[in-house]
Amino acid sequence: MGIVNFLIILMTFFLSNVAHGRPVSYPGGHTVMSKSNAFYNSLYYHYSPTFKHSVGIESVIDKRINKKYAYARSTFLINRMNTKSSQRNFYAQGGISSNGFGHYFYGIHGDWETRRLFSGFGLKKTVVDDFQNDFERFVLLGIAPYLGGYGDLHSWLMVKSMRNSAMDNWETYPWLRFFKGNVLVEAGYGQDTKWDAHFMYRF
Amino acid sequence: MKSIVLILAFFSVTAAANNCHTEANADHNHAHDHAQSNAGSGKSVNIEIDEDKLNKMTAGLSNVKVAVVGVKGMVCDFCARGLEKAFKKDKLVVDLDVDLEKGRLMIVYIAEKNIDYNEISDTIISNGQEPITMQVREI
Repeated sequence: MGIVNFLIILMTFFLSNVAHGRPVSYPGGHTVMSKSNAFYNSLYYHYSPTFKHSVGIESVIDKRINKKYAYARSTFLINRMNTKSSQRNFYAQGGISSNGFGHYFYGIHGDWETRRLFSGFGLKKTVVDDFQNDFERFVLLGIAPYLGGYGDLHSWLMVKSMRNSAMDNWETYPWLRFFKGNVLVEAGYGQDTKWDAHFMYRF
Repeated sequence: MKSIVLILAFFSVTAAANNCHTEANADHNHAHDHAQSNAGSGKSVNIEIDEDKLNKMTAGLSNVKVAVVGVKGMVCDFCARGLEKAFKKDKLVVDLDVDLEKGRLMIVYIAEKNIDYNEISDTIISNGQEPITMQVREI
């Protein structure tokens, strides 16, 4: 990839919004994820019948409204482009809360990565009974300091920028991602988000 | 509106970047691309084989066949996990190696296995990656 393309990608992301690890697994794959930041804690299980689709249940402790609820949620791979040295994905996601049809979310996210570079974004709109809405956006850019082989520990140095309706401004903070085998751990720390952490296990 | 424009910008930029990769790879691996159509017909074709890796994988083995497959989109460890699981469901698979750097799968089968490019191709495609070419070696 030329330096010009890379700079354009960087500009695109910094002007807009980024994303987490793969939201759809391989066919027949099960995934458990947990996320935690200043706004919510969640535990999410999903099953992927195909590489294009996952369905699951997410349990959320929403710290902003001090409520617990669950989502029945689904993610679709809208588009994937493979090359020998890169992969790009676009996903759509949505979910309905255990609180009823008035509480739901929908969104889109995408990523593009090579073995050395990663970029991604996410947009997620949450509607709670038509009045308490949240619009979360994030951008994630990363570089692998070394290229690990299959089964090695893979490390990524990243920058995450995010904003939601509870934040006055975009917040950008360092982000570290590690994965080995079926386990992925990533985390960052920002002034508003505090510790923002994500754990994923596939089986 | 701004978000939609930026998503479209992301789509366009990554498509352009991917095309650059594809063109670069096509230039660099012209012979491999030619091999792809041959592979589709089920014939063995030329593909660079890491002989050291092949020797390590097959050390102590005899009466095996090794399929070496070029795969597009196998750029991360997580991407390749599904391929390993899918191929290892086949009881005729003795061993499997994933080479992320070269985008290659090396699948060792027992000699009785009738290696079919289309079967391997379907497995790869159903995991979200794309096969490029394949060569089979008997040991």
